[in-house]
Amino acid sequence: MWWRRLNGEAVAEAVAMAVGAVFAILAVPLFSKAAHHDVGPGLFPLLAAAAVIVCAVLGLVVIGLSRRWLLPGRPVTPASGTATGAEATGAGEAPATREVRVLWLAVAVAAYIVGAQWLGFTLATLGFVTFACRLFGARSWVRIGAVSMGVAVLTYFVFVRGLEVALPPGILGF
Amino acid sequence: MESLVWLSKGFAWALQPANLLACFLGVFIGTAVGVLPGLGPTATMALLLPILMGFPPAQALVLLAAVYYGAMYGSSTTAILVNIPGEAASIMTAVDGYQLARQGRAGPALAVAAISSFVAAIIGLVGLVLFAPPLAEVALAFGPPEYFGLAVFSFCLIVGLSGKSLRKGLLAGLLGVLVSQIGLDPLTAVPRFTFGSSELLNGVDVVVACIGLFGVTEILSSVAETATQVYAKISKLYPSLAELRQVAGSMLRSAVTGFMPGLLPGFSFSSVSFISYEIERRISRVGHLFGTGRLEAVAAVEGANNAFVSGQFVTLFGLGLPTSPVMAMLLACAMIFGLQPGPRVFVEKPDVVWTIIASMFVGNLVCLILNLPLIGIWVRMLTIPYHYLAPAMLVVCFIGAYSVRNSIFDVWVMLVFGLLGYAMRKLSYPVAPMVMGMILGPMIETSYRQSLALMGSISPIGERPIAMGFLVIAGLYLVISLGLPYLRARRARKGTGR
Repeated sequence: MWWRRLNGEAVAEAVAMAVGAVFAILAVPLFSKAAHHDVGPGLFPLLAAAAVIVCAVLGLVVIGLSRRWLLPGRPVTPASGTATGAEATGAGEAPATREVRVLWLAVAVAAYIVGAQWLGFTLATLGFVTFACRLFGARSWVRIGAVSMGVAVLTYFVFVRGLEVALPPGILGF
Repeated sequence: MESLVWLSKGFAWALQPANLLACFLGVFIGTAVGVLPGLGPTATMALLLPILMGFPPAQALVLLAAVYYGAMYGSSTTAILVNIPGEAASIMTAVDGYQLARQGRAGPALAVAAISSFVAAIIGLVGLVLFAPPLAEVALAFGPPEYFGLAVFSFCLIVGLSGKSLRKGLLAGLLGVLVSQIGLDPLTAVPRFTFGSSELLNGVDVVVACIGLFGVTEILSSVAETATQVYAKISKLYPSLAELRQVAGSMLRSAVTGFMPGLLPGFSFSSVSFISYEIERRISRVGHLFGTGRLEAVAAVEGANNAFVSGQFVTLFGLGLPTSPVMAMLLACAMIFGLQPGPRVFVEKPDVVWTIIASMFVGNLVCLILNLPLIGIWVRMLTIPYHYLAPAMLVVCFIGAYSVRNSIFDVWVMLVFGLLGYAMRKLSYPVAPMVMGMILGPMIETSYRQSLALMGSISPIGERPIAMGFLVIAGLYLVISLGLPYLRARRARKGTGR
């Protein structure tokens, strides 16, 4: 499966080039809104977009010249804690598994945001912290429950009641 | 000489029990505001104003000013401990401060931040007392062409934040500039790149993006590494005397790099801390190690932030000119209490003005006394198992992002930038240049277009010495930054005979 060996940098440069192109295309119509002695709202974004495209093309050229479009097949390596002082678990874990965990956390945060609007910040926090603690490796359900409840209640009283930050109330009003 | 006489009287007024209590309360509230996301100093002042209406003017303004510089002390805490810059002032603090925390040196980092803030603030206040009238005049010489030159110079400093790959840093910076274009055009209010979304009309907030790029990215990275404990064992709570001697130079330099920009409208905390960081990186003997966890970097940024506050008060009292939204709020509060900041204030209300100035000396000492013992409590937080700490940090990120504009859309933006920052980290693209691009992009564009409107074309900028000075320095900086490594590499190759 060659696409799994695609050089991530090449993909990033291509995406940046595409973003630059989109901004450049959208900036062109803005030129008609220029006033006297003003270049208008279109010039600066167009210049920035053009610079992004040039930078990205340079990057692709560099990668192309070094023929690094595809990286060699990577063997499964033991998970190594790159964080200073980190104690890693899951020796022998494939990189794909780690990325799945990141994806799960991102989905959990997205669900948290949606949940906060419907259930309210406090209830959504309760659910999110419970799930996230498990995802990060906590095992004791009692402790997870205590931490989730503690975080939800503390944030409610400190921020909503104490600092009067208007966090989403949801259907239950808190 | 006359200033010193008035300052001594100011101390006598500031040390009266009621004013001292107001100072202490303001520092306490400000520090809490700086540590906790959800409220900034501007919003806090607005909330306190109705409560303070019945107070004497000097007392009320002492408290409000203390909230401001207290927040500067507090904002570094979350940046150092959990890589979440709660205020724009602490974005650059997170770069080295968090690395120090991961090495088990959160205590020395927090202590150096507090001590440097105190030292630089005091030096800045001395500058305020001695040089307020003549220095304030410099602010009048700055117009759009000068800000354009300054913004271009600041953008060139991205070179210093790019790490090993200048091209990647530049690409990140330019993408940041593009992101800053989203929203309403600053001069014509024409919507740009909003894709029909009403939320995007307000643009992408820099603080929200930073919470994503720094805080959320860090947590996503840690879940990928399955790290059970991100922080090393805490070695000690306070820096040694040798470490304090090492950072002394950085503290003193930060006073200058923070105070001078405070005199000028248009500078923000983020650009001041960025410039201070870069200057210190160039000057310091260990500048090449910045980004890996250096106390000198923390000292430079935190000192500059607090000296910047002192500089802002120079133009506020000297010219009646607010140089930031917080100063504008302070000016409004001052006027409500019958004080008209400006050149005449030192003649008409010397008792109020000098009480405020003297209380700032006292207040900064109170900040230091309050913050140093709290270090032990903050650092203990890091001993909480990471699988409980990380979800709590994400909740804090949510609150921080949401409370900027009370918008759930901003929380989505935070998540997007968190994922973007994760991808950038995996592919070794630096994140700091993107943040600087977001901050400097509007400044470059607005000042350029205002200069055009002022002068008819851009060529008369050659007749503005300050603007040209910045552009020349920017050019020299680029030549030296790009040329020196190339010459060194060439010399090394010749030396090895290759």
